[in-house]
Amino acid sequence: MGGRRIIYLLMIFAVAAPIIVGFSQRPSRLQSAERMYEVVESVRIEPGEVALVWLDFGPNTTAENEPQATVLLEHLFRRRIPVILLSQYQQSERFLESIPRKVAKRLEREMPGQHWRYGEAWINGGFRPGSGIFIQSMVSAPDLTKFLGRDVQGMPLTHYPNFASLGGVERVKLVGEITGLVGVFDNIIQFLQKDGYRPTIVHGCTSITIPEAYIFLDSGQLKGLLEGIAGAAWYSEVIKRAYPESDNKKLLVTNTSLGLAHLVLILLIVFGNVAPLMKKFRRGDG
Amino acid sequence: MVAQDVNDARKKLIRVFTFLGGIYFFLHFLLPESAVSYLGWRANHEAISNGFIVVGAMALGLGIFNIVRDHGARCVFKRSGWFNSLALLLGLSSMLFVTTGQWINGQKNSSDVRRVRLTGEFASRILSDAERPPQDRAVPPLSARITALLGHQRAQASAIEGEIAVSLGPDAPASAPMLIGEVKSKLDALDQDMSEIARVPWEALGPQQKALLERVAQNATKLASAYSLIKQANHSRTRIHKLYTFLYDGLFNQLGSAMFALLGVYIGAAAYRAFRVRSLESGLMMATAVLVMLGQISLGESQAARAGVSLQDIRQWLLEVPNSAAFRAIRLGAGVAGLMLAIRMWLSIESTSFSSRER
Repeated sequence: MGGRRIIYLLMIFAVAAPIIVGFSQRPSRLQSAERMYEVVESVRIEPGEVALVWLDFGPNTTAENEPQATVLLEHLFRRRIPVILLSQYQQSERFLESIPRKVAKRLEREMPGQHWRYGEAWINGGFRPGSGIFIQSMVSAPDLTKFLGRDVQGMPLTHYPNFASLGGVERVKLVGEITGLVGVFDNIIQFLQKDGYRPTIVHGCTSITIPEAYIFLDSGQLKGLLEGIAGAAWYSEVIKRAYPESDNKKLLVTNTSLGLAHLVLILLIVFGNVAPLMKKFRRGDG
Repeated sequence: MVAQDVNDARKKLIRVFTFLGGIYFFLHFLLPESAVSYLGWRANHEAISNGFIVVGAMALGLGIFNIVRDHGARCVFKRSGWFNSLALLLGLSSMLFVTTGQWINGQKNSSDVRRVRLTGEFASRILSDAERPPQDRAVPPLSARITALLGHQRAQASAIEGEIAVSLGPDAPASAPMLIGEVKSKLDALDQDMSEIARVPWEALGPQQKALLERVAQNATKLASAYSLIKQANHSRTRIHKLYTFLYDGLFNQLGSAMFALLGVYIGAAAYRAFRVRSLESGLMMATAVLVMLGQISLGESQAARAGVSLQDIRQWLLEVPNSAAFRAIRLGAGVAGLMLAIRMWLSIESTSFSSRER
């Protein structure tokens, strides 16, 4: 019992120490995140074309998914690509509202005089029930503006010039899916496509679902991947290279604390294997 | 006997609907678009899908009903754990109350902004009707419509002034002065247009009148956009929004995150106690796990690089090659099993309540 308490304290210390001290290290280079940056960077849009970003996470995976959503939206906002935010998961409702606002506020602070406003830079389509059925209908709808109808506040999409005449799903130039849920990600991969239209899909997943996401990255169905906080941290570093004013300090601190926790885990594994061996060895000696 | 017959008929009906629902989506997904259009499904697909979504959403209502019935009964009869049930019901009702309040506020804001936007839409409609009089409906004379437009705008202007007054409260956000300035400038521009409209004769539509109406349409749209920002800022200061923020961010979010965060300490304990190398397989697994973890963190990266080892490349290879191969096999197996399960559900032989096995 006492040993377990020490392990718990060690883990808490490893996670908390860098956050309290504000210590950060350069994140590890992740190819999948770098590829995602290049994909988003290469998107060229005409007036009336948009990116569709699904935020399908709740409070339980917010530690990993929120930084991913933040860096993806930051990049899209910097590139002035209008974004439609949607969700298949009812618990993400709050994040659909708060994350783009935080990103817009930060960018406006960074670049005084420039604005990223609701209705111009993004709209919040809210939680949409029906998951797979909803996505299939959306894909076959002749006009996304009409199909989505209203935003989360009940305002018709025709109110917002950037989203007033979208046309079919072909006008969606990039699809982002940020989630820790395998089922909702599968819906996007399976159903968000049709004859003659295969969207560019990028994905942010939790550490637990990384192994599963890799099969889609390998097959080319996914063009870029953010692997947990580490992926978001490296993505923010790549953004910082292009936009040096970008502030990613908080994310790097979180990533460092996670890295330290990983090291503690490795040490615990080693210690857990060495300690019984030593015990056995001593007993043999005695 | 009659009850048995009704029950049998109900089961048959459920089977028929399940089968039809399944075959519809199956064929819609598989058939090429030309065939879907030929069958006439394309035009009605949205309505059919919405119908299915509505049926699915009913499950949510059913869930709430069950929770209230079960936990309500536990509270009323003070069965064991009644206090937990009470906490659940209180949480459910307070969140329902607050989110309904939020939703009503949101709807009201949207309708207020929409009314401002209507000024522009009305001006555009007056213009298009005057240029091409519609054949299918009677249109009031141009001067009467202009009077109505002026009246509508006057009403909106006073509503906007009222909203601005609210924005100037002691707890106003830092962005309030900028937003107010923006709305005021747009409102002034529209007011100028309106005074000009009031001066110009409206017996016929000339180039001056046309230009004026076009300007009103543009300025009203800009005003509506700026006004919606003020409405949003004011909404975030309402009591109901603060209560919602407290319940969601202060309680729900924190509790949910804390539950998930516990995983970290459990994994720590498991790493020490359970990750023992007892065989070649477990040794391989441990080595792989350690390499993947090391490849994801930058701590120790430079030491590894000095030794000529790229931990990231090793991690990448492990995830791309052995991991992908194994996961593909797992997914294929799970996919075949899922297909079998779907067929059984489609044919209503999976659930015992609808199958002949029950009898």
